[in-house]
Amino acid sequence: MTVVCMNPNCKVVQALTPGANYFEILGLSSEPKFDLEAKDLRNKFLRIQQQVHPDSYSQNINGDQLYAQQQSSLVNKAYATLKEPLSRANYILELLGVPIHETESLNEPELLMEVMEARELLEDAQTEEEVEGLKEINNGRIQQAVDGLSKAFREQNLEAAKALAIELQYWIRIQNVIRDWAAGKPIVADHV
Amino acid sequence: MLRSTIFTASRSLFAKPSTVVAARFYHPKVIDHYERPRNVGSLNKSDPFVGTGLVGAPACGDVMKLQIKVDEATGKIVDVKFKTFGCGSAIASSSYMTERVRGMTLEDAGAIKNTEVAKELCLPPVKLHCSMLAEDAIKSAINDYKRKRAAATGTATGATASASA
Repeated sequence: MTVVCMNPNCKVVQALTPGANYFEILGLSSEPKFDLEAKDLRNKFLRIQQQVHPDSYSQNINGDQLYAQQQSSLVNKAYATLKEPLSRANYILELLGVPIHETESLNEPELLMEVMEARELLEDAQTEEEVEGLKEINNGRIQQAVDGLSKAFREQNLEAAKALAIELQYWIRIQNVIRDWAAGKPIVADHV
Repeated sequence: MLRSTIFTASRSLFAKPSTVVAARFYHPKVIDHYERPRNVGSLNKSDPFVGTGLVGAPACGDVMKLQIKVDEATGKIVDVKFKTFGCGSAIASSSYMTERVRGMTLEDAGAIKNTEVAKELCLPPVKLHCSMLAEDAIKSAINDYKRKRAAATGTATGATASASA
């Protein structure tokens, strides 16, 4: 399924294909895959986005512009989801039937303890250097979780993948707090 | 010239509603707890009469710690502290919970439902899980306290209490 008609003389934007997953939308195999080539994904995204950009259909023949808008917005969403390891992992887990539910509560004392300590260190940090050090530690955690996810998905161990996706969620949140950190500015609520 | 005027006008037009929306996002009760959180801090984790509850919300990456100090003679919660890294609703839910359980017996504190927290703070449906986190946190703290006491006294009563919790 493509977003634009394959006939070179036609090239009309197609209506949305119901049920198409984000991998298909970006021109990949519909089989969910965690290991993606970032550059390849970006190139595919840019090429498709160019084809369906609503500005190219401003004359609105046959309702093309509406289709173009819908496809363009979907393609953006697909790329945003697959680009980042965390959202990609969550999306794959959802496709494979083991999503992380809002109402789930986590009872992993060791992980929670590490998260709590990391958050407290960040809260107490006074200087850029301190935060830089914490950032390095956290980047290591992120890398480890992403590597673990890659392995778990390759081995089709979905339980392990889910646990690692949850872990990664915590490290990414810390990464966001680090990104927004400024000396003297208190960290209270870090998301809405 | 006309273009820039329209641009400025439309920008100011947009600016106003967006601040209204931001202010409306949280209920005043949530904002009150968020701006003046009650009982923030930590109790000594290794104190034999302190129970620590540590829970997390995996979907959003929130983490909440709630600690209670129990007077063994009366079985009542005499001190309570919390620390939450999360959204305003999660902070407000745990702050409210600390106020609510102070002076309560463990049994009463363990019976508090998240729906009560959500109702009191007027949490919207998408934020219900924050109040659930607060309920899980107090339960987890009570369990930790019971576990500690059972281990310290080594009595069957303590073990039963911990198992039934």
